[in-house]
Amino acid sequence: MIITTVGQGLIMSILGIGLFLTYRILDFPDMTTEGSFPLGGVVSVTAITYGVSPLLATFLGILAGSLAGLMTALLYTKGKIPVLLSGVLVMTSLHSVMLFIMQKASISLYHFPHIFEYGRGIKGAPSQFELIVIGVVALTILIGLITYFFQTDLGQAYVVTGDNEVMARAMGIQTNRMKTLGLMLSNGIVALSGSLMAQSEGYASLNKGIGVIVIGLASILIGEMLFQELNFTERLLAVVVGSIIYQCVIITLIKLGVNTNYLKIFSSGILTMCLLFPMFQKKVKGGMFV
Amino acid sequence: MKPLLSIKEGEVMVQTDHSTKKLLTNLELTIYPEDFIVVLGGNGAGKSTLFNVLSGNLRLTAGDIVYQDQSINHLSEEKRATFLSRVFQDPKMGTAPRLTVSENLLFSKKRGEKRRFKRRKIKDYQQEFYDVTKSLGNHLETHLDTPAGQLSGGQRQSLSLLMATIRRPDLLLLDEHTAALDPKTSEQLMAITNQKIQEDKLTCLMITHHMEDALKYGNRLLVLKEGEIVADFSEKEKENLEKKDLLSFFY
Repeated sequence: MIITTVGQGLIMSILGIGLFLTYRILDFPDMTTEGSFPLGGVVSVTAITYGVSPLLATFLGILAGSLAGLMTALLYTKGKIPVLLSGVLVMTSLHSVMLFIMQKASISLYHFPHIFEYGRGIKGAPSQFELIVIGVVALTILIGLITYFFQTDLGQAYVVTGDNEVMARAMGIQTNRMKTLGLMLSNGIVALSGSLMAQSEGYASLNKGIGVIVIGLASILIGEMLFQELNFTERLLAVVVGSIIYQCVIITLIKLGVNTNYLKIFSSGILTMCLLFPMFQKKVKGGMFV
Repeated sequence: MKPLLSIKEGEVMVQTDHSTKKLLTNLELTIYPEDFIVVLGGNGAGKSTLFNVLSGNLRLTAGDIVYQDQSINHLSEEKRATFLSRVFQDPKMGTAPRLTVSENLLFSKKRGEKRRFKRRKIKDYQQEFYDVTKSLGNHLETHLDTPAGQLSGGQRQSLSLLMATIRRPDLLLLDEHTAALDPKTSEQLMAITNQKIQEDKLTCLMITHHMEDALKYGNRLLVLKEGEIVADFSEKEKENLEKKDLLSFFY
C-alpha cells in the first residue's frame, strides 16, 4: 500500500510541476488543468485501444494537453479574456472533446499494454513497484529538461515575463508568446500526469479532472511550507515531496474510515490550510515579539 | 549633422466618453546623436506621452516618427528595444525581482535579441559584470548573486541604469529615474548617469522635476506645456538660464 501511495504521489507530482510553471512563474491560476489532466488519460488510453504503442500514446496525450493550453493562451492573449475565464471555457469544452474521442463516458484498457509494463521485471520488486520506477524515470527526465530550459535564454525570458512584464517588453520580449509557451508546456506536463494516472488505474474517464488543480496546488504549497530558501531544481523536488505527503494524508484519512465519496472536501481543506498557513505563522511570530 | 530620430507634426489624441482629448499637438522634435535633452513640464504637460510615443507604448494618431530615415510609428515596443532602452521612475519596474543581479544583467545584455533555446553561460560574464557594477561605487559588485528584489532602492535603480546601457542603446529614455530616491542617493545616481552618458557618448532624453538637475545636466532643455513644446533651449541658451526662468513656465 505504501508503494501505491508513493507511486501515486510521484505521478501526481508531475501535475504539480506542470502547475508550478504557470501558478508560480506567471502567477496564473490556470483552470485548463482540470480539463487537460483527464484529456491526457483519455487520448492515451483511446490511442492504446486502437493499437498505438503505450509510449507513443503517452506522447499523444501530452500533445493534446499542449493544444488545450494553446487554446487557453489564444483566448487570453488574442481574445483578451481573463486567464481564469479562458481556462474555464477550455476546461468546459474539453468535456465534449473527450466524449467525442471516447464515444462514451469512460474507456478501459482491458488486456491492452500500458506504459508501466516497461517498469516491470525487476527481480524481487514488490507488486506495483512499476509505478515508482516509471514515476521516477518520468520525473527525472522532466525535472532535467525544465532545469535546462530555465538556464537558456528562452527560459530566462519566460521567467522575466512572469517576474516583471513591463521590463520584459522594454527589453524586447514578446510577452504574449512567452505566456503561450508557458500554458502549452504546463498543460502538456499536466496531461502527461493524467495519462500516467489513467494507465496505472487501467481506465480513462471524464470525471478524473474534478479537483485536480487543488491537489496540484496543495503539492506545491506543502513543499514550500516544508522547505525554504531552495534553488530552482530543489523547488521542483519539493513539489514531489509535497505531492507524496498529500497522498499519505489522504490515505491516512481513508484508513481512519473517512467515506471516500467525501474526499474532495478534505482536499480543499488541506489546500485551504496551506494557503492560510503564512497568515497564522505571522500572527504567531508577531504575538511573540509584541 | 544628421538627426538620429525626429517627430514630425506629431499628435496624440485619446477618445474619452464624451470628447476627444489632445495629449500632444504640433510636436516637432529632432534629436541629434549625443544629445542629452532634459525634459521639463508640469503634470499633464505630455512628458510621459512623449516618452510613450518614442518607446512605442503609444502610437501617434497623426504625424510621423522617423528613425534613421525610416518611419517607425508602426513598430512595436518590443521591436524598438533593439535600439532604445528605458529607465523607469519606480525602481521595481526596471529589474526582475527574483533574478539575481548577474541574471538581470545577462538578460538585459541581450536586449532586443531573439531568445533561443540556448544555454546562457552566465559564468562567462562574471568578470565583466563585476567590473561594470564596481564602477558604480555603491557596492553593487558584492551583490551579484543577490536577487534584485532584495536590493535597496538606490542600488536597484543603479542596476536598472546598467541594464539599460550595458548594451549600448541608440536612444536612452530616463523617466524621472531618480525621483523615488532620497536626496543623497538621487544625487549619486544622477552623477553616475551623467558619467555613463558622457563616457559612452549616449543620446538621451531625461524627464526630471529637479530644476537644479535640469540646469546642471544636458546640452538641451525642452519645456512641455499642455501637450506642446513651448521652449527648446540650446546648449548656449541653457547656460544663461536660471531657476526662476524655468519656474516661470509653471505658472
